[in-house]
Amino acid sequence: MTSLHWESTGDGDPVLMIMGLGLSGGAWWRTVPVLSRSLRVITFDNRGVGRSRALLNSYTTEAMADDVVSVLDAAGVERAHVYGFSLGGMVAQQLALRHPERVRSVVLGATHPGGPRAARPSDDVIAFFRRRSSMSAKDAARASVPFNYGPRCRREHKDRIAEDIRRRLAHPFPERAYKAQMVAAALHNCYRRLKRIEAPTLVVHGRHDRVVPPANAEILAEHIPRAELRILDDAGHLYSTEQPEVDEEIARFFLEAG
Amino acid sequence: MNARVDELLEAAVNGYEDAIRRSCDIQRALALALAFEPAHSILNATADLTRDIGAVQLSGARWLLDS
Repeated sequence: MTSLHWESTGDGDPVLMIMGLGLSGGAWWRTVPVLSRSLRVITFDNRGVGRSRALLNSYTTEAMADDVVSVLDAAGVERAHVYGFSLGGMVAQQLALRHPERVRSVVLGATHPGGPRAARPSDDVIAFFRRRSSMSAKDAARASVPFNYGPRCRREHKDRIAEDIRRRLAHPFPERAYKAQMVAAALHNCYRRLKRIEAPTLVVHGRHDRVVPPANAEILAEHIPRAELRILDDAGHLYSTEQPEVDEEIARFFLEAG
Repeated sequence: MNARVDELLEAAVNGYEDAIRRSCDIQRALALALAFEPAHSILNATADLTRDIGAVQLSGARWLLDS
């Protein structure tokens, strides 16, 4: 049986947050306090991660999108704003396509549409993610810094990076779930269907993102009919750590989308 | 690929996706109706499998269309 852990913070229009590869809903710790000032923020652990469990160790972004609907049902929410980050952004695309009636608006953060037209990361990034599973959690967290953060953050905000790593190491993720999510990301393919996403969409991406190249944000914004594009000049993949002020912009986008 | 052929193939893939969705919906409706175990769990599990195997097939088909 698949069981999903979810939490709700704040009052107002509901926003459902979908986290990326291997991370639990708790990884939204920088963003939740900002959004929950004016919105009801629902976070959850993706299947196999944190306190959620999955029946099978084979995941697809379609299955993960259906999980989101289960969380919305459990939270008593008919329609929500949706914020997906990285793998979570792929799940958000699937959600907007499979269950458009449940989605008010979408923020797609540091993500890609999948398929052969998506921009691939460089070979050294792919090689790192392949060998990451053989590293200890501590070594992997440290080795991922040059890939996850842009040059300015690595130079000026070492304290923020250290805090991210400390929190990540406090909640290590199971290897099987990590690999299953990698497979889900590899199979993800919404490229041809982006034109069918009707919800107002904000695409957010760091210019120095090495994990998901920013060309993907341009593809998403070009093909989703009601999309806006926001490129963050000083950020890499984990832009919320690098330019935390973007969370205010995202809250405004949700409030204006209604 | 010829644009017309591409459109037809895309329509076929979309049609297959709709068929998968309908098949899953039927299995879940049956699971709701048969609210006893193990029938309920088996039907929900087969609906999940239908969705996930279909998702892999659709991803592959769309990958080929985009190549």
